[in-house]
Amino acid sequence: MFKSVLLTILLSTLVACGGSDPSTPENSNDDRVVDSGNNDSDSGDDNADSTGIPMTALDAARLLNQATYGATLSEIEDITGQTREQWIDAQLALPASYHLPLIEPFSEREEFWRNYRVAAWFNRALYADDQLRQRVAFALSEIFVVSEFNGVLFDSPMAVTHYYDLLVEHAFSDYRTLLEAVTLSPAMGVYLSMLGNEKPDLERNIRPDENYAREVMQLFSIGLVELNLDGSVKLDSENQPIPTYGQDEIKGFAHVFTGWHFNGTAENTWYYWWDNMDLFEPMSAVQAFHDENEKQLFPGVLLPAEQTAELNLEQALDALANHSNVPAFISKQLIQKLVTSNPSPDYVQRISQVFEDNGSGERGNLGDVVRAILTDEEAVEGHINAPQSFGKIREPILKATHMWRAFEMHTDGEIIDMGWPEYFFNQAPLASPSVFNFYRPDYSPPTLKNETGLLAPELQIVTDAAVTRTTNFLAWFGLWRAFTGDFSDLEEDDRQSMWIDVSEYVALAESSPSEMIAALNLVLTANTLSEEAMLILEEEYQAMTWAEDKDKVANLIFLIMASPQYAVQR
Amino acid sequence: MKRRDVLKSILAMGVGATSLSATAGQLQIMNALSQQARHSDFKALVCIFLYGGNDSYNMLVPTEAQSYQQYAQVRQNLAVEQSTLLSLNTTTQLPYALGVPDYMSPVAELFHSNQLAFVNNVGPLVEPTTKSAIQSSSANLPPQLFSHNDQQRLWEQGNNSLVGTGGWAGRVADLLDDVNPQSSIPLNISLAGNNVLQTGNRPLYAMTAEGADMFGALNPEHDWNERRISVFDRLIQLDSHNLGGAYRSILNGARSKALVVNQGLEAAPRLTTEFADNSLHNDLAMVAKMISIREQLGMQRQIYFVGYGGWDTHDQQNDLHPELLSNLASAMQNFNAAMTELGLEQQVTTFTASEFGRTLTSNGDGTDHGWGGHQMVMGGAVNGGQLYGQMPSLSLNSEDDFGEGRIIPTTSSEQYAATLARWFGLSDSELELVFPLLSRFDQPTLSFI
Repeated sequence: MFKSVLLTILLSTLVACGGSDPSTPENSNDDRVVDSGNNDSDSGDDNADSTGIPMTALDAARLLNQATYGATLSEIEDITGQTREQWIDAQLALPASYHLPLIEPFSEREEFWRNYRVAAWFNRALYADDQLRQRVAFALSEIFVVSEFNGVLFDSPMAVTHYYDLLVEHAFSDYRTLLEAVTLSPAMGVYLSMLGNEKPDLERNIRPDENYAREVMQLFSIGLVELNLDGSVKLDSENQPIPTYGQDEIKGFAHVFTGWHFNGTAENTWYYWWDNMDLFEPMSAVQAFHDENEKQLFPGVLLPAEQTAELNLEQALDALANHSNVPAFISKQLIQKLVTSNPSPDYVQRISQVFEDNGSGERGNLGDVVRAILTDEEAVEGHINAPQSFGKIREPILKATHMWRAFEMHTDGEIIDMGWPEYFFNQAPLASPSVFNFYRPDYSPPTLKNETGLLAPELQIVTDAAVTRTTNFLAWFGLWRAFTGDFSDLEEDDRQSMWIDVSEYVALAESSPSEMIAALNLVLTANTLSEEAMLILEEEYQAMTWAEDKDKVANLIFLIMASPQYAVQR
Repeated sequence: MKRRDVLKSILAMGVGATSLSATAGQLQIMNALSQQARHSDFKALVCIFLYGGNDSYNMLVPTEAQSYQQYAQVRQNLAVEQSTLLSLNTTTQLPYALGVPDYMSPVAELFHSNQLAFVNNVGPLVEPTTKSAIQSSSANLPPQLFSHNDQQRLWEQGNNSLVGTGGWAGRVADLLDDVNPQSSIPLNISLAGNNVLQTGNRPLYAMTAEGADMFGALNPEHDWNERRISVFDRLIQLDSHNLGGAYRSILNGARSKALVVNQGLEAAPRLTTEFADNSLHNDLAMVAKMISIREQLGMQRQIYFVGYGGWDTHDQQNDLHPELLSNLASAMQNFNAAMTELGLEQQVTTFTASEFGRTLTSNGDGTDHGWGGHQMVMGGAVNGGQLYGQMPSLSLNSEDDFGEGRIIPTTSSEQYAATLARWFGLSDSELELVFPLLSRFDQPTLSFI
């Protein structure tokens, strides 16, 4: 069954890639490189890319790369013929897979370290059914940043994982709920020092900590300057950006965020925090440490004196969540993390409008925002309409998840032991060097920026050192760790590491190397490789007569995954 | 037309508009034309960026009764104990005598042996400003004051984004493009990844404290990779996507540089100076090693960028900050010793930068984002044992206080950087190109070096 469907898919791919006449010399038109990968989706049906229309194999591969931890042949096969909406709706309905249960069994060990947390993340990335939720949670973890690089959190993988699970839980809930969960999370409280923040003591020149007040505005909600709904910067009459807040607003919010501590803390235990330390339950308020004076937040938002800490927090978060910047600020970043680094203003605006109102009068429904992002015409057809600029640089760590999903990873190790992914990828879940994430959404290398004006945020972490190590990961865990057949035939020591299973592709190559290459092209690059590139790969496959099939396949996997063609998800 | 002038005209036109290959071709022609390097000596600048905002008001602390009292009254539980301060003996005229905490004793030693100077109350400014101008809203201030990444950017740009998005060291490299004619390694080398400071028209080189890894499966030194490399090189040309092209540039740049740097490092002399085993020490040890192979790399000028994080002490400041300062001090001392060992103490200048100083006032167990702060400059060329720039008043609501002890800078980060760039070899007219706001300040460069 699998094989027959697969062959059908591949047949259409091959025909569309010009397989009907492979002897035709390639012309050197640059556009052709991309176009040849795109035409197949349209072959025989000009509307194949529209939403609401059953997906071709290529459509499916593209969606899976945008919305999961990486496409696989079997998933492409499964969802070909569905519409984008059908798949997304099914994903939205799936129960959440949490990470904490995966690490709890190890938590009593003496050597309980971050590698268990990272392993749980890889486990969910590779195997969870609720791929869309997991993928969105990862995107959120790079916006609502908590990092284990903090004195308390580094020693508590459980607390960090619990925070991640909050993002998993609220990935499709409404933004206001997410914002409150994040704000009251003890991990966030520790990370941005809202936890233990006290009302002012004027005699001792002590004023509230401004850390959370500043970052919740700059990074988690409204950003620095006023935005239009399409994500562009609003300008004043002198053509200058308009700041969304100043030091006065920071002070107002800093006073709001006083009086919160570990759950269950009381006035008389406030300073004995180690007795109250609860890194899971939301922080709770102690009114005696909360500032009760009136607080001016934004113009027109005045919190009266004598309110409870809880009420002040609720009203302050309402003010943030209802700020006119939030829809574009959050929507644009989610588009950039899932679909394209350079969305058109219209695309951002369409999503912002869904953020403002999902059609049922709900603001900030993230599930609906994600559905809108992935079913937008730009997500579906951007690669055709803007073949040289649409898409995004893949996050380096997602190359690993993709490889291990596409070529089913095997290990006899107790966990997926990738203790320090940042060695290879310059990133690891919830381990950013600062609250500003691994890279900024507006980063672009100077040459790219000067020549095209395009952004490529992920390239901020693709340094000389990082591109070397990511490429080495693909060699060490792909090229030189591929097997076929029975995993238990490998030496026991070897089986402790992670290996890729290329049996499926070796089988394909036995009947036709070009079909195998077409399958790699579909699964890995969504048919981005040009006809010429495919021929080069096939030549190389045929020429390596001395090598085992598995090594020949692994060689092609390496060549493709290390290439710029693969580096851009499009 | 001299080669440098050609480059300047390219720079003035905006080299970005030219295609990379055309520029590379022009450079090659100019390389062939150039008779000799612009400089025959060697110089390096080493920036240690203290990410998060160093609370430098606990780095330079009043030592004498009355001024210490005032400091302690403002800082409350965050005050460094008076008895632990090491006095700085200097001929600099100061409003109050100063010392450093005893956990910075290596810095005091460097200061007293004239190897180190402090530059006081430096921060990003668009023009000189005063509290009254700020209060009457007539001041022209940098945007987004007190935000981490914005003030980092201001520091690293060296101006108010008047000349594009790059940084001052990037522009220095663009101007001095001809100083390292024999080298394929960029003048700007980072141990902390991409950064604004070193961003210019030429890419920076971002390595790690472990050196330069080789590409296992694409390493041309091994015969068995030969076929794969030739296939890969053909394959990767076949993509016209703009982001793919940018990725290919990084990839190919890393491939060629890894070979050169790795071969150089393998032949590096062993330094007897020992460093501790933590990220800052490891980074500076690698900088020392890279400097030791400057000739193999064919380099007369280098700018290094080292990042040291953890300074955002909103809480637990009394635990965290002394450790940071102590480690910084010992790392700087070791690095200075390594440069002396190489006989390069006159030729290598190390300086600190940090996005902001912090509030004089406490938030209970930490401090919040401020503005001006003190910096250190180290090396044999430095006019050490002195403090430059004005020390601010440490009383709240003084003329130096923006509010709650956020100190208004009296020296622009641009003046600080321009002084270093002038030492590095830029002419006055080049300084104006790199630091377009410099002429707004009475004293464009300082005398600390």
